[in-house]
Amino acid sequence: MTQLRIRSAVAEDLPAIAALMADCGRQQAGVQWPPAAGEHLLVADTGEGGAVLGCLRLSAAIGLRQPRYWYHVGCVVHAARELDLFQRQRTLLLGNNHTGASELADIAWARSGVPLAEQALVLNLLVQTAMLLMARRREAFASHLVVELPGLRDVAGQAPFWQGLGRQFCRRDPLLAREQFGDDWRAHAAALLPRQTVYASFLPAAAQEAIAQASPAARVLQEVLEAAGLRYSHHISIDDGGPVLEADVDTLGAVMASRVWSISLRDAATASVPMLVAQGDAGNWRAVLVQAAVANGKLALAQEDMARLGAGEGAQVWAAPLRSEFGPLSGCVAARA
Amino acid sequence: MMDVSPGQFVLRPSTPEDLPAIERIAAASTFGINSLPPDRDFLLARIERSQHAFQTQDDASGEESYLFVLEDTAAGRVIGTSGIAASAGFHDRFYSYRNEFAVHASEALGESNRIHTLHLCHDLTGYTLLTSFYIEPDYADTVAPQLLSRARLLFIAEFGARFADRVAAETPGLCDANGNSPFWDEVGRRFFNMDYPQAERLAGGRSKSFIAELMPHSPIYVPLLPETAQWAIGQLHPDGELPFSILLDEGFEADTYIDVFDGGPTVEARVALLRTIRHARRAVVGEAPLASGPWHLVARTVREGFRATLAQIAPGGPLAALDAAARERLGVAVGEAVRIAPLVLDEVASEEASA
Repeated sequence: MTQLRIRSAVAEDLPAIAALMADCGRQQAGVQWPPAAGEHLLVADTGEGGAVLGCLRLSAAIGLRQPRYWYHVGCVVHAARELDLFQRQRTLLLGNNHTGASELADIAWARSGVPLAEQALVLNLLVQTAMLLMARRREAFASHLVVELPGLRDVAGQAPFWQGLGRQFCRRDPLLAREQFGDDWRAHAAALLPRQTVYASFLPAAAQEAIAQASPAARVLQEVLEAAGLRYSHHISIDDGGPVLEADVDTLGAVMASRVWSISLRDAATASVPMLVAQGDAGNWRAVLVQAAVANGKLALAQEDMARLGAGEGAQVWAAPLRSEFGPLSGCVAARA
Repeated sequence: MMDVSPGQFVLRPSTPEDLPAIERIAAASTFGINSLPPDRDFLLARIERSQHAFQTQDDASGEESYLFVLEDTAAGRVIGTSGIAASAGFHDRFYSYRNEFAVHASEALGESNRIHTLHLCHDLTGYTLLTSFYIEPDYADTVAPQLLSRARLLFIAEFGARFADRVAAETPGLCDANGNSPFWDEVGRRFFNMDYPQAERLAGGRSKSFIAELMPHSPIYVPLLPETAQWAIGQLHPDGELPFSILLDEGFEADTYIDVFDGGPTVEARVALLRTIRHARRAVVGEAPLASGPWHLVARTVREGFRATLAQIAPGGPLAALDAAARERLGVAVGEAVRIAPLVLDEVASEEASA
């Protein structure tokens, strides 16, 4: 068993990150290095020199230079008692509603042969560590946090949602466009898309069914995010129709429960609770899951946990208790070759 | 083609005695578009409303609905109907879809597309509406349809205060024998979950705008519609081709509006620009010993007792010299006023060109 830790990415992580992205079907994307101002790239690994099992990019504010577009999923009712008619219709309206929000993006994690519980653990620690960083530097982030989940795609990577809606307005193949422009291709495509409300019932069945559906491989991520306090925002991606989750940052459990502590050495006999403890700052952020106790107003950690964190007695850390719906919080994953 | 003389047709206001003929016409009309449903009580009420409209002294309350019949005097029977509603949607709003086009362009992707949308609108509310056109198929290739359709314009010109200065006409869109239309099936049905005849039945004699109010109020993006429905936009039912072509020749525009139910074109125009109206003039009836000269539409200038027919009138002069037979058809005496317009507008066009 190996202990997980989360830390800011370094240049040496790029090949591993690229491999994870490919594993998640985003080989074309790649991540920007070094991260732009306001962007933080976090990775999960199994210790010094250990395997990188997941990555995540936290952006302070999105859509302020290149506009970002989503469809708002609304509802209209057509009702006439005399006709015994009562029909609810879903509507889609293109817009930039989440502009300025903070975002968790480029979330990729080792999937092949990894049990779902372990995938969930890696994702949960990544997400919670990002939230701790938002709490640590609260003023640097927005009041609103969003996450786009990947939507439904066929084996060739084509999305039925795009086939049913976008393709009628934009002839360019979305996969080739993404290769050429990266994620910005969606802003270019948005210029071609309908600006007024679209009734979902005009779309083919497969496109309608894809609205706000996360891809099966991303369901574990959706569960982790929802457990962390995010909810479906009634917005979807314009290309694959995947759901956009959102939360008010100040109401997130990890943000509300986090506080700054001085650390001390824990007496092994003291009762302890699982906590995510982070240390450092943006660009040099690192977190581990530990068993911690409160003693004399300080957060008491075991010696080896302090070492994993790279902090000594008296150091300041940011910590939040972790509840988990994903099995025992050992913070351990099975060591793999 | 039937062997007919242009002079054997007379257009006049409908009367209750015409009910059997109008019932026959209602039964033969294309489903869905005719404002003459095969319903005896409804038709009688419609005729009585029309009689009232011709009689009333109140100018232009807007709710008048005029129903004309065309008689073949040689056969001694009614062979067609046409009507005018003074103000479309008088009791309510008049709904249409307006065709709009927007060019969506992305410089980065090097792509630009002309996107067709349909906008639910009330643009035509208050327009004068030409309605209820029906001619027996045997007469389709004669001049009778010209008189039946265009005499209405002479009536409008004569009693302009009773009508709007813009005029529209609905023409039937594509539908099958059961009244199902591909446009309704892909647009209306998504909001009603029933076929159009069923929706009309359930609406129970309410105005069509009752149904229209339940239609989508956001623009409909045509590229999202299946091909059958896209193709039906602005397409005529074959039964509508004849009245449609007469109106296009008059100068009606067919590009802007379509019917919200079946997608058929709704044509519209400024009354003053219609060719029959522009070339119509008032004249005093004179005496011609023999009919001669080009054929004209000739209409009386009274409301009650309005009549129109086709007659030969020699060109030039302030008088409209009519032979005795034509005067008898119209019920006019020498010295009375009539309004006349040339039957064949091609000749007018060449006159215009040479002028």
